[in-house]
Amino acid sequence: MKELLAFLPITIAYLAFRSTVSANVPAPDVVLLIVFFMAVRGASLEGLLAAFVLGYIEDAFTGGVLGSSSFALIIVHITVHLASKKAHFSTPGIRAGGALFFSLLKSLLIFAAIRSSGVRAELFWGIAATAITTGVFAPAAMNLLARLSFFLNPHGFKNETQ
Amino acid sequence: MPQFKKKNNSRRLTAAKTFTPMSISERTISSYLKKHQIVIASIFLALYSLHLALTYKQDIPRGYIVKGAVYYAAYPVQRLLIGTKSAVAGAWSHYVYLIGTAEENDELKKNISALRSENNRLREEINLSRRLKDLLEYRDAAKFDTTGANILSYNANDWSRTVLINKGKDDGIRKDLAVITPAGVVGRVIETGGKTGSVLLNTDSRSNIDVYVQRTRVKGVAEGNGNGGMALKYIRLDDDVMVGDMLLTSGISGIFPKGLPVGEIVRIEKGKDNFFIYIEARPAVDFKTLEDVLVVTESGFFYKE
Repeated sequence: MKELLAFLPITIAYLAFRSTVSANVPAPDVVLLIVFFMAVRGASLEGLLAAFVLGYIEDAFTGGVLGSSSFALIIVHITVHLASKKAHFSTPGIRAGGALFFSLLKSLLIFAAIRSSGVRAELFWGIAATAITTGVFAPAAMNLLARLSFFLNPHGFKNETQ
Repeated sequence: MPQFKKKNNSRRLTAAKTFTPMSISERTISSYLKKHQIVIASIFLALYSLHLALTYKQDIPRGYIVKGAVYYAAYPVQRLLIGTKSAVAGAWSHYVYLIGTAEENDELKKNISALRSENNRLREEINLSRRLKDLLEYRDAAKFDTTGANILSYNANDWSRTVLINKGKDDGIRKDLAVITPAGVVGRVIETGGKTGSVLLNTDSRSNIDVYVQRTRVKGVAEGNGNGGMALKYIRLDDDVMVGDMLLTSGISGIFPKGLPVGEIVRIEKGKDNFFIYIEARPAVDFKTLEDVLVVTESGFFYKE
């Protein structure tokens, strides 16, 4: 639970940054990277709760359809966990590709959720730009998250990244 | 030794008598739940999230505490970031950008730089006073009460387009108030905190504004496409519309006063259903350069012919 509490202020700072400094520029999806990072190490109730809470905060902050990001991030969390049984997200290339793919998946799931809620949204290229940026930043971001995680749990080998 | 053994056996017997063993089916269910707890929790949370999203249009007040807490926590960070951004931009344009030439140039160039900096500052002040003058003139001329507000942040999630303004409940701002500029409609207030308010822009997919075409008075609904533009709905094939026509608020919803510019038609295509036409419109307001807005503090602008 320590990690979830540490990731909350990071998420709020990131959302504040994205809404002020990089409002018109594609920025990496840090919320997705946190969930991706937690899921790569193995599905856990903490990771699942983080996916729900961070998604809820993202929707609350951006004024989006409440629940759509949570839904997408929970599906991403469980899909990453299942995918990590087949593929090891251990090299920077695979991490970048994985983050890109799951960023697209998150956007498509949000799109599906808000379309189902009766909002007439349309697909556009902005989601690809966000996915590419997320993919590019994923290896470095995951290393930083791993360091933070190790700092929070210095004694356990279990919590180290693969 | 035999005495000790006896004692131990009697203990085991007592334990066996008091312990009620789980039946095989209970044990199976328990181990199944334990084994698949992540999947079960995922399904439960995913369904709950989906329920929240699907019941969005029912307008149930939700997440007020979380929203309030998030806005409260992010507000100082946003202020800090805006301040840092301005300072860095100023330092870049007035110092770092000129650092290479500063070594080569003489005192005169330094003076030019200082004058340029002063000039930029004055231009900014002129721009600010011009914008405020426009807002004040518009506010004085308007037939409804308004209050000025600054934009704190621009939230462009994948499909949502909202801005945060520096006026909230404490300033008398409430849900469903219109937000405008002299150029036209910006959107409407959807959430209010104590000192901040969240405004749904008219380019957001959830925004629907009743409008009419200024030239021909044909009525329709301007819906945001979530990607910086709008679509004009419910215009029939035989309706008279053309590229360049202005869309104005009809005042039907009661939120927006009648006659405010909403957008301009930029593309017309035949619809898929052979009954309506597909019309794309550009917003009247340029959201990328938007800094100050007016919140209409009145409501109930109902349509009067």
